[in-house]
Amino acid sequence: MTGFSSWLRVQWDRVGAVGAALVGLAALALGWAGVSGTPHIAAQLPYFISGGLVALFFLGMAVTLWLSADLRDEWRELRALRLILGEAAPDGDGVDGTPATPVGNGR
Amino acid sequence: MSSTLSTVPAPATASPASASATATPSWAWATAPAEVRAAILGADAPWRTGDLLWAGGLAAAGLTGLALTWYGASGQPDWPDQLPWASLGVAATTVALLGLVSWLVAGLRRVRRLRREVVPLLAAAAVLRSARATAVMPIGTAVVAAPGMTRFHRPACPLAAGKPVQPVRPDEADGAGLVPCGVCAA
Repeated sequence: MTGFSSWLRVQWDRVGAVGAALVGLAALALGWAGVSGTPHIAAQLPYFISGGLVALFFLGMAVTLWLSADLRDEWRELRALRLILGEAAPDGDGVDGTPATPVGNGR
Repeated sequence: MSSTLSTVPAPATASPASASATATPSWAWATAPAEVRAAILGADAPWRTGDLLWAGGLAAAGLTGLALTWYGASGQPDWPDQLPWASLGVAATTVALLGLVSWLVAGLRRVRRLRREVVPLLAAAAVLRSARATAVMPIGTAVVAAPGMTRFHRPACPLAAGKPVQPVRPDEADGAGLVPCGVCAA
């Protein structure tokens, strides 16, 4: 259980991505069920909004969470590498005369 | 993709910007555990508070617009009167998705900037280590160091370039308490 909770803590964004995808698919299915259940366009359009458009947002959120998890992983690895190389020059002898400060610290 | 990389330990030192981001929390953010904050913003992630506010603001505005358009459309009995609401709903969805895209773009830009900085260092380290493996350093060959440095370098080391370094013998460097450079492996 502890292993699962720690895995959940590390992979929270991928778990969130799967959850958002499930919510999006559920909204899509419910919207489709609502639209197909009535012949009147006036009754179908609210389902288009609450089902189709909301599903589109949640599916987009799922993709965003998954890709941002990949970005964060790459960020961590690059920072770890940068830290290792930075420790090689702790006395300010960084490349091109710049101090070996951590990078990626702002825009 | 790179799911295994998430186990890479986070660097111990936080950048100044991330330190300022975590030092000035706002609203419910202040109550979030430190590791959660660091995983979303700060040293463990390429995003800053402004990115979160921008992306979250756009997404919240889009979702609010979606709720309003649904409410407006469902209150109209005729579908021609609902069409403007549906159009507004599409626009609101676009705004919300733009917020998500802005989050990704901000992270991608910072990761790319960090990669541009790290890759040349890695390449230099690889070249120098390769050269060290193939070349035999004669006994007594000088390495270089500058006053105030705690490490000594090979003369061609990029970390020594442009510095007021002086040749020293390895045994002298050892005697002075200097340790070898980790990049050029002097």
